[in-house]
Amino acid sequence: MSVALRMRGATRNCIGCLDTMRSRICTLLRLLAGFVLAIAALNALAAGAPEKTFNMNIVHGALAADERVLRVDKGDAVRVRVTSDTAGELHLHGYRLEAKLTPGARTELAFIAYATGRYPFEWHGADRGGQTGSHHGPAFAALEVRPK
Amino acid sequence: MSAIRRLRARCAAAAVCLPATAWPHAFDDRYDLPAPLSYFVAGAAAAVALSFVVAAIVARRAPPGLPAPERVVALGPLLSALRWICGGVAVSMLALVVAAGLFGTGDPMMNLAPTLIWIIGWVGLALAVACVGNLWRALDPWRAVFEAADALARRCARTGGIALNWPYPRALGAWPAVILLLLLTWFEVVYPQAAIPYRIACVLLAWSALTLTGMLCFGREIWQRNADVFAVYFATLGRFAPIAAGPDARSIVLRAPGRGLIAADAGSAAMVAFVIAMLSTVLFDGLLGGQIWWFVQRALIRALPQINDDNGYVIGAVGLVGVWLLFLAAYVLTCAVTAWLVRERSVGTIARLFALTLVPIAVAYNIAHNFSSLLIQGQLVIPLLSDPFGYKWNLFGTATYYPNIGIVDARFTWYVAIGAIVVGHVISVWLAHRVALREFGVPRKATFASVPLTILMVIYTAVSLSVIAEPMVKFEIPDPAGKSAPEQ
Repeated sequence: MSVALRMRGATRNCIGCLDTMRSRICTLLRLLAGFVLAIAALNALAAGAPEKTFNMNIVHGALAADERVLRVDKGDAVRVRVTSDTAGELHLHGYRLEAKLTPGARTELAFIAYATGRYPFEWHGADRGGQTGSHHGPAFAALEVRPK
Repeated sequence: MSAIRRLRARCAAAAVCLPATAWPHAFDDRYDLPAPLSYFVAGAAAAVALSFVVAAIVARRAPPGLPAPERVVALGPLLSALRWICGGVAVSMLALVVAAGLFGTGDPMMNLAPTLIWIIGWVGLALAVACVGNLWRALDPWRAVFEAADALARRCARTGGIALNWPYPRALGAWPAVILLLLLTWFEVVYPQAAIPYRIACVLLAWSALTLTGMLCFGREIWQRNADVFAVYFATLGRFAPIAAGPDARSIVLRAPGRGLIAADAGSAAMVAFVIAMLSTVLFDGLLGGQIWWFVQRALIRALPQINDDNGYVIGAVGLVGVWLLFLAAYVLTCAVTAWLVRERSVGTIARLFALTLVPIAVAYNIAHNFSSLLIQGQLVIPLLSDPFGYKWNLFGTATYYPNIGIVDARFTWYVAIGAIVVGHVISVWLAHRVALREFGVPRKATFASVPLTILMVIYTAVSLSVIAEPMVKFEIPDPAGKSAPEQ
C-alpha cells in the first residue's frame, strides 16, 4: 500500500507538465500505480479469505444429519462452534485439533483449512468410555476441504 | 494399509487415557478426497478412446514380432556388493520390526512396526518394484538368511547346501501363493488388529518359520516360485518394471515398461488366479473405504444375517473372496469368448496368455489408491526411526516431526490417480494387442481377438476409476445410532 501511495504522489507532482516526455512518463507511472493498487486490492481480497462458521451440537454423543459433514474450500478460515450435553473431547484428525467440552459450555475450533482432504472428527464422550462405536461404522463427523 | 483404518476405535479407547500431546490415532486415517465426477468421466472417456487408438495402430502397422528392445548393462562387482548390503539392511530391519512389535509400545503410531511393514514395506515397495525393478530379490530378508546359511553350509560342510529338496507336489502349483495373498489381504484390510505392533511381530515370526521351513524342505527357488506370496507378488510386479536381473549376477537389463509381462505367459492357472487377485485385492481395499461397500455390506447382512459378527470378519472375507471370484469369472468368461472367436486355442491357453497383460492395470490402481497415503503417512517413518519402540528416544533428532498433511494437494492427487489409471489401461491394452499379434499373426485377426479383452479392461478400469471417484453417491455420514448401521 505504501508503495502505491508514494507512486500516486509522484503522479500528482507531474500533472500540468508540458513536456511530452514527462507527461508520457506520468501516464506510465499512473498506469503503474493503478496496477499496483489493483494488485493490492486483490491481495486484500485474497487475504480476507471467506470465513465459514459451523455449529456442532452434540446430543447424546451424536450430531444431527446436517452437522456431520463440514464442506469448505482450501484456504478458508473455518470456525466450528461446538456444544455438547455431555462432557468429552472432540478431535479433528490430520489437523490435530481438539476441543474439551463440558455440558452447556460452547467451545470454538478456529483454523485455516490449509490442506485438502477429508478429515474425520472423533468424539470421545466421557460417559461412553471413549468409544465412538464400531470400528466399521462411519465417522462421527468429517471436514471436507476441497481444492480451489 | 487400510489395515490401519480399522484400528481407529481401538486406539481411540487408549487415546483418552494418554496425554494430549500424544496423538495416537492418526495412523489409520486416509485423508483422500474422492475425485469429482468430471475427472471420472474424462478418465473413462480417455480409456475408451485410447483403446480404439491402440487397436487402430496395431491393425494398421505393427509388424508381428518386433525385436526386443532390451539392453544389458554390466555393473561388475558393484551389484553383488549392493545385494549383500541390501540383504544386511533387510535382515536388520526385520529384526528391528519384530523387536519393536514384541517389546515396543502397543500404539501403532508410536511404534515403527506398522509404518515400516504396511506403508513402506507393502505399499511403498510394491510401487518401487513396479516402477524401478524387482528390488525384493535383494531386500527379501528370508532369502538373505537362507542363502547366507546355505552358503555357510556349503563352505563348512562341503555338502550340497542345507535344502532337503523334497519333491514339491505338482498339483499344488502356485495355489499356496494365491491363498496366502488372499489371507494376507484379509489380514491387512479386514482384520481390525493388523496395525497392532504385537500382532505384526507374531505374524512375521510365524511367516519366518513357515517360509524358512518351506525353503529348507523344497529348496528356495521352488518354494519362492510357488508358495512364497511376497516373492511371487513382487516378481510379478517386477515383470512390469523397466529394470530386470541380467543374465549373470554382474549385470542388469533395461527394457521398456511392461516388456517383461509379454516375454512369457502366466505359466499356470494358479498364476492367472494370482494376477486377478492382485487386481481385486487392491480394488477391494479401495472399496472398503467407500460408501459403495457400506451399501453392499448392508444388503449382504440383510440377506444373510447369520454371517454378521461384531468385527465383520466373515463379511469382510466374503467380500474379499467375492470380488476376486467376480473378477476371475469375468476374466475367464472373456477368455472363453476370445477362444470362441479365434477357434484354435483352448480357454485355458488364452487365459494364461493374456493374464499378465492385466498387471499394468493393477500397478496403476495401486498408484492411484496409495500414492497420497504413501506420501503423507510414509512421513511417519521420519519420527519413528528416531524412536522405533516408542520409548521417547530421539536417536536422529527427528522424533518430534509430524507428517505434513498439506504435502500434496487433492487436485494433484486426482491428476496422478486418473493419469496413472489411464496410462496403465493403455499399456495393458497395448500389451494384449502385442500378445495377440504374436500369437495370431494376422493384424486384423489379432485386433478382432483382442476385442473381448479390451472391453474387459475398459470395465476393470471403469471400476477402479469409480472407486477413486466415488461418483455415484454424495458423501454423507449415516445415522450412527439408527437402523442404518448394521454392525452396531
